[in-house]
Amino acid sequence: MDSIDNTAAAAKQMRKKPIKKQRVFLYAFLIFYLILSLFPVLWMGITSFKEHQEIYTVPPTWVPEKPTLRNYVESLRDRPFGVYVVNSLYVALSVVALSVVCGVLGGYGLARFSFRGSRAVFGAILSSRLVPPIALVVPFNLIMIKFGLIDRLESLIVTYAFFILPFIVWVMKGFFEAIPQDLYDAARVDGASKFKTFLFVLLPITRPGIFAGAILAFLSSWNEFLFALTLTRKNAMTVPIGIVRYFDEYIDWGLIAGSTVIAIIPAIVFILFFQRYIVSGITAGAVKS
Amino acid sequence: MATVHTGAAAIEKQSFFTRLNASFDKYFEAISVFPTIFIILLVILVPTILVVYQGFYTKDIILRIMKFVGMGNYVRALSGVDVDFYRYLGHTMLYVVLATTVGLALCILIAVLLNSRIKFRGVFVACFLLPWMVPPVTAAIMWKWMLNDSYGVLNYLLVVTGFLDRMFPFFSHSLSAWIWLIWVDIWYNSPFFIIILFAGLQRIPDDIIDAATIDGAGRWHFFTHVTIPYIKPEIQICLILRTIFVLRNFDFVYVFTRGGPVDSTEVLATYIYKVSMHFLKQGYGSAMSVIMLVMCALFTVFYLLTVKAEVEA
Repeated sequence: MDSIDNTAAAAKQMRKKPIKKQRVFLYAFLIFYLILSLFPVLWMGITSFKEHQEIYTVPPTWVPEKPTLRNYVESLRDRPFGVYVVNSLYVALSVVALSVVCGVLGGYGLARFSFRGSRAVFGAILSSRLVPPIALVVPFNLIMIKFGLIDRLESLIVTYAFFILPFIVWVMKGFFEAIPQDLYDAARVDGASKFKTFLFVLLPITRPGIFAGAILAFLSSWNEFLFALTLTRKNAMTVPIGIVRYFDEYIDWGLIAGSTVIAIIPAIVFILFFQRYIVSGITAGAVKS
Repeated sequence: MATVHTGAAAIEKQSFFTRLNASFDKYFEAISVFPTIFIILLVILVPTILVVYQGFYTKDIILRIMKFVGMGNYVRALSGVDVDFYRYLGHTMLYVVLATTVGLALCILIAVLLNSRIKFRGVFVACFLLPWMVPPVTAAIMWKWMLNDSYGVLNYLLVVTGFLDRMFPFFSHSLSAWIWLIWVDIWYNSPFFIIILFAGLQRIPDDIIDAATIDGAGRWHFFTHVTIPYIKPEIQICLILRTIFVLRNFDFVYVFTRGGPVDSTEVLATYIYKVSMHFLKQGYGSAMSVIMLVMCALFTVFYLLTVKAEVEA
């Protein structure tokens, strides 16, 4: 026993022995990558508060000399960017509602209910995720024209919900499978119906997964570009399309910077509040399979 | 008599609802799967059939009719009649291979560093996540702004630090356009893979680390003989997901380079978009979409078979 303790202690000591040079390199590299990760967003933020002339000065100024909100005001008031923001919010929130309800139910069903071919169904759901979106652009376009849904927000909602649904089903299935059978049995013995068990016992436990799914559904719809580009013309344009339009029509970098910062706000809000859920949600789902 | 009658009806009625309730309870799992399957079937099956169907036709713009051409569209792409197809396929492959290998190596390095008992780990992870959250379109635009050849801050910094002797128009040269295109892809997609790999690394038990340390394993030896085998499942997941992400990538190429200069960064995804939406050759675009679909499927099957063979061996 003594010798084991000794070796363990020795190992601990060896592990803790600081190697100064490598430590410095380690932190230097991590901080370098940290700067790389944050700098583009930071720089867009700085640019968005600059006056028009200051944006185009070389060498660039690191802090806006006369901070101004002009770029934001102009983007939201004088240009139709506010409409795009409302459109994007409406689409993203609808997608969250639709895909989370369907996805949670689907994940539960696939985890609890094994019928002949249930594995095949799950495989089919997952593999639908492998279809490259560009391959569906032409048929989606034709179908939406046929049903008169082109340039309508509904077409985007259906499309995005479909693209995020397999992922939510996958994550939720992992969560439901991790719940011990005893819990189901206990609730059943107490006389709860399956629906009640699902609603009041299982859902609270799987909350991290639901949050992760909801966040990903929101962000993926907020960020989506390809289908927004092909399925909208004028009325149903979303934020990414709006920014690229600015970029194409009049390269006013102040305006672009302001709009970009508006487009990034949800991401930052989510990072600040839900980082815990995202990490645990994704890793739980990923490790299971 | 009458009261008895209504009573019986009530019982019957009640029993109907009870029965309905009971069967709802009995089949709850099956009912719960239904909406998902319905949406996915509706949204995947119909378009897929339609795209395969479209691939056999070509649109006569003057007569406004669809003309059946059989395998014509496929032959056009695969036999090299359309020389661009193989060139853009080559670009796509180059993009996939470089972005996947370089990106994955970087992600593994960062995940290992994050796992090596550092301070402020939470802060680092939160900040590393950010690129993945911003819309891809804005990511491309931000980098494009920083690399601008007249006012770009990054261009300026490269000049100041002596890497360049003057502001360089990165998007006018195919090599530099490629480098930055691949870099933006890596920058944007890394967070997701760093998290998956980092979660895998945390599974390595402490006593194995201790044992290796006592055995006097060097860092590199430890990395190749303990770390890599341990996180192999995660590396495989990352490899397949990354390949598919890059293969289907449209946003970066479209916004960042528009396939330029000329067409030296054009990839299949943007080419399909251009052919079907700008040149209005939806038949040909559909045929190429099907080819791409088959490529993705083949890659996945090949990958799964490799994994299976490894597991059985």
